[in-house]
Amino acid sequence: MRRTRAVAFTALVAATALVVAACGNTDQAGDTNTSAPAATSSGAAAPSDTGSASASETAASGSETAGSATATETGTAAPAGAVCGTPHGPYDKPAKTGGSVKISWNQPLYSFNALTGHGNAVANADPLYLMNQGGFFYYNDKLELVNNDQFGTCAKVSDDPLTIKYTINKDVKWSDGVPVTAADLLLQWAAPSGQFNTEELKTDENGNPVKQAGVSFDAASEAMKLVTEFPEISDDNQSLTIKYSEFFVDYPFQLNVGVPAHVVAEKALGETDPTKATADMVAALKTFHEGVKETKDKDGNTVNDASAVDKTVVANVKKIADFYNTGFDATELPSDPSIYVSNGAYVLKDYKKDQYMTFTKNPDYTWGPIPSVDTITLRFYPEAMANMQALQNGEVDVANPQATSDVLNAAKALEGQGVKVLTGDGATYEHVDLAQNNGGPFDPKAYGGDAQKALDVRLAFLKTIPRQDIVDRLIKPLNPNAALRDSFNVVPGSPAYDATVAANGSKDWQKVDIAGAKALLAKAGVTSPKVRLMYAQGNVRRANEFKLIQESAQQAGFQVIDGANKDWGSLLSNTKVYDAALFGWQSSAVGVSQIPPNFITGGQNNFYGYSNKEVDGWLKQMNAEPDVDKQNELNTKVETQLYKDGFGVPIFQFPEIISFNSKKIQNVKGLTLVPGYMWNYWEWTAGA
Amino acid sequence: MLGSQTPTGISTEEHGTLLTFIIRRIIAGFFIVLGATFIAYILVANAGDPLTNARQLQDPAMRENMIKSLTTSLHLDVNPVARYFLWLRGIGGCFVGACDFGKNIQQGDVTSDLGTYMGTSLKLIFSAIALAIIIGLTVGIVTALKQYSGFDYAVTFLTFLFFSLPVFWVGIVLKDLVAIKFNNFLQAGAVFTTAWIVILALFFGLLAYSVQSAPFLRKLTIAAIVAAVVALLSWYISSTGWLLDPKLGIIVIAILSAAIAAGVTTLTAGLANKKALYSALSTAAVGVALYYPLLSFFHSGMNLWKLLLLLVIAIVVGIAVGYLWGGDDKALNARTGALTALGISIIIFIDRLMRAWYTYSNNPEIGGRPLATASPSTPNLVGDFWIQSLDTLTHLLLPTITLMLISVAGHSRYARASMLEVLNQDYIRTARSKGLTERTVIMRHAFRNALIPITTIIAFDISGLLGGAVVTERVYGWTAMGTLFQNGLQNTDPNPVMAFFLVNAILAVLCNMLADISYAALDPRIRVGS
Repeated sequence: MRRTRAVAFTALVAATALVVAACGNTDQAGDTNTSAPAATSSGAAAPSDTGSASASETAASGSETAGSATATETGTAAPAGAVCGTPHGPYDKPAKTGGSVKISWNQPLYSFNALTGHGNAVANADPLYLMNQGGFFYYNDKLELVNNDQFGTCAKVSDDPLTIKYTINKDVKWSDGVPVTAADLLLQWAAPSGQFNTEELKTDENGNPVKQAGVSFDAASEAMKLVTEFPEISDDNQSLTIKYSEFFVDYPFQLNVGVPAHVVAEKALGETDPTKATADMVAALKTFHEGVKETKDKDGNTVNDASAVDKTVVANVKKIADFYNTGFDATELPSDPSIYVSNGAYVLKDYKKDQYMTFTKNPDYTWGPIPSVDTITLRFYPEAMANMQALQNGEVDVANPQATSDVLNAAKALEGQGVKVLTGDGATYEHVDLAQNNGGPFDPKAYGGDAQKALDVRLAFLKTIPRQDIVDRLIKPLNPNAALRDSFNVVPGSPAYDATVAANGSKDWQKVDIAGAKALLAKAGVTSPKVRLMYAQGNVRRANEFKLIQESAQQAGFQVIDGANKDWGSLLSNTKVYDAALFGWQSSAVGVSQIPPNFITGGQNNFYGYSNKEVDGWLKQMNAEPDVDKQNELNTKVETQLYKDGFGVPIFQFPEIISFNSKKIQNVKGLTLVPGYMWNYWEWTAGA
Repeated sequence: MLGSQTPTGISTEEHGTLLTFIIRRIIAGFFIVLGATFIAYILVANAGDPLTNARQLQDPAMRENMIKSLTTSLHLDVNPVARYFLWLRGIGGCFVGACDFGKNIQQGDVTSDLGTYMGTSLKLIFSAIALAIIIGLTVGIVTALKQYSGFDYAVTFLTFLFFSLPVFWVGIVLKDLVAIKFNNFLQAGAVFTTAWIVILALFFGLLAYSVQSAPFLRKLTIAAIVAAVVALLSWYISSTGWLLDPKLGIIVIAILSAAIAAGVTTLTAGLANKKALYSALSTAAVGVALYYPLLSFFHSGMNLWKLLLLLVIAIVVGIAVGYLWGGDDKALNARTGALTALGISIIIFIDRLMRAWYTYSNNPEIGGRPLATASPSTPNLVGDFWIQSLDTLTHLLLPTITLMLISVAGHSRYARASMLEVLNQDYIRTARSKGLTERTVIMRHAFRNALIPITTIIAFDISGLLGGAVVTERVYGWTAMGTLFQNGLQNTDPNPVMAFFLVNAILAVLCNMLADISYAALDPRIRVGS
């Protein structure tokens, strides 16, 4: 028996040795790997939580909302009247066509409508981009908004009230042959406008959704809420004109074609003729909109009252809303092909649940960039390393999993077989914010209302944050070109970034300043303040950041307390439980209009009780300022003041790693917004 | 006595107790599942906030809208205890054919997901379970018979090794070695280097040496012959590029069929039983004779049902052949014939798959790299039944090996221990002393009794594999039950987690019960009633 035991022991030792050997390679990655899911949930938004590369893991959006503030700059450069990006003009035919490529993503599509509350995810937006491209506009890799004028044009009819006219070109049609018309745009206004929702989604005493007569579109847009007048449709059905009741600064990228209106109309109203069904739908929406009135309910909330509207019309609009909400949800190829009609370069040919989607060229398509590749297969790999091994084995040609050092090493190891690696910035940025309303070390209340003392403590703490160290140690291994993010609101790489950074006072925050921090603390007369730093529990990268911050802050006398919390997301609004928060916002996916909620007094994302009259004023001005240069000026003022007030600091941009097999696919480029590397699919070429 | 006894020897009275036992267990199991789901539901409800993602949307309008719609569909405004009963009502619908497992946080229907994923899980684990049982039992019993031989130590070493390896690591290594490196090897022309031929020959030689229990010189001779044959074979395989376009051909099939016939007879009846041997051999002859007709039959319009039908026909033919040979024990002949038919069917099936290999691996979608690292199938692959079957097999190969390695390790250890225990029993000594052949002693007296405890282990293993393929699924990019669970946990999405939990709870209870029943059925000493 002794020999048996010896054998068992040897086996155990051998196994351990094997595992240790394996881990030797992936040591660092061990960390980042585990951080993968957490990094995602921390990345501001995306409901696609199954892993997801940080890059395109953008909070929002179908193409509409994706876009940075600065990207709107092109608006001013564009010819007069053209407001949704620089018109591109005709596209060249690709030099060669044909072939097929296999790309990959970590989560399968689950809805062909990416504009509903639940369908709003990168997993849906990316494949839909192949099918519908951008419609009116898309972003290029300089983060400039480009108007695909072969699809349609947008013109500003008037500044006051802000009125925009969208015109769809004559020959543009859905892949089932039905023309794309103003009705398609109208639906994209009606659904998120909130003006058709007569009832909140309601539940009975058991919590079951009550079948209600009321209408409830599962979509919302701040901009479309301001378009209170029923949009005007031209006689030829090609143009839609919307009038904003008040100025909305990000108007260039607010409205675009989404789901096919004729399909919604046919399914909801039970009709078969697309033209008639669409007309009936438009009529129903119009009648409804005319008859509906705003009233207050007994709690004082504004609600829409449709009691004056004809019952059948209400019933029809409700059917439209219901179909819009869930009719496009699918996790495999729908049996009804109308659910996945496209108006872009590719049509969906096959969708095998959880495995792949296959796209082939749309034979009728002429209105936009002409792709070179005949067939695109999008495969799904939830696991990052599985994705990389599939790339190695030739099962996919492009991989863009969650960035970890494992992934980077794996990609680098494949360079010998023709794999190219692109490293760059993702859409999410990491930052620290300080709570000023909780009686803690950063709140004047703690010092008997002495605002200066609280400010000194805040500045002292921020001075100790080892930003460069965090980037060098945690981000550079993944993105060798990683740099500090020195702006609160402007995405690195976008046109206004350099100017903003030069002027916003961020240069004072480049280095850790322990002496300065000590001096400030001494001046404030505060000794060893306790700071509870909250971050996502289980996120290894953040835990490492925390350790670096803790060590550094300790040198200046701060006691930083580990506030790792799995519910940090919902606790952000409760500053009682933390003094400082470390997390990511995906601000790159939003425009100027998304800035004020972060900093304005009482803003929805300003959880920290920050309030500065001047900043409030500038933000309000910015929201009413159509000129991009002036927007940038105001933003620089805001940022300068934020630094002075010790609001917090931005630290870094999430890294992104795209690797592709250059023998199989060429011209792959990254983009920090949705749809990530898919943005220029028409430039891809297949084969050697 | 008369009439009160059924032919199987179990009295009707015992049947009655068995029924009571089953009913009692089902009722108890029902309440166990109920209690377990309640606890799990409360735990899941408190595990995290399903709205975490929604809350992080920076756009306030979208954020509110998403929170609102999720709260409604997941009943988040209801107290978890009450929510459990809402959930339970949906599950209760299963009894009237209208299951409702609720929605996930993407507003998708968990019920339909569950259906698909259970199917995929079964597909993933079925062959792994079957192979693990066959290989595990065989290895376990052989090592027990050859206790303390070199072979025994080698197997013990390997089983402990496999048992202690983490699945995700095995997955990554297998993908690298068996898929990526093997594909590279194929693309480079499938040529073995001399070193490889030597290593292969030495390995098999050593294996042959260690399994035998014979005088040293005899062992050495046999090992040398095996090594030489392996060396020749691998040289042949390498120089003809056989791996690129493999086939067996009628001669190899004839040789293998004869070997199977002899092997099956040895196990079931002993070669001395001429009737059984002739049954097996004539079944083999029928199989070989039908080889060419079958090839043309396979040519077009094949599907899984036709294939299964053929298998049934083959087995029936085997049984018929056995009966026709007659003799003292027709049933034994029939069994021998049937098993031989099964073996030969499998060989012919494999040969036919091999004939599709070249076409398959040169399909543009495959591109000369037939072994896949992930997913259950190749996208856009067009091909007949054989191409599609090969595609499924090339995708199943690695996960099956992964799942199997660990199960085999366990099964073989249990089988070995159980067999050793039985071999030391008095009745085995009695059987030997009354002059029974070693084959009869082992196959009839020892093997059957050794199976009893293993049954329990296997029953547990099946339920464990169904729920426990989480890591394997993840590594190989299969979306099945494990993914349902993992994604649910990651997104703090309660309903998928509960669906997974419910299915596993029911399986655990069921397998437990089945194990107890089969135990009682196998071992007359155990009474279910008591």
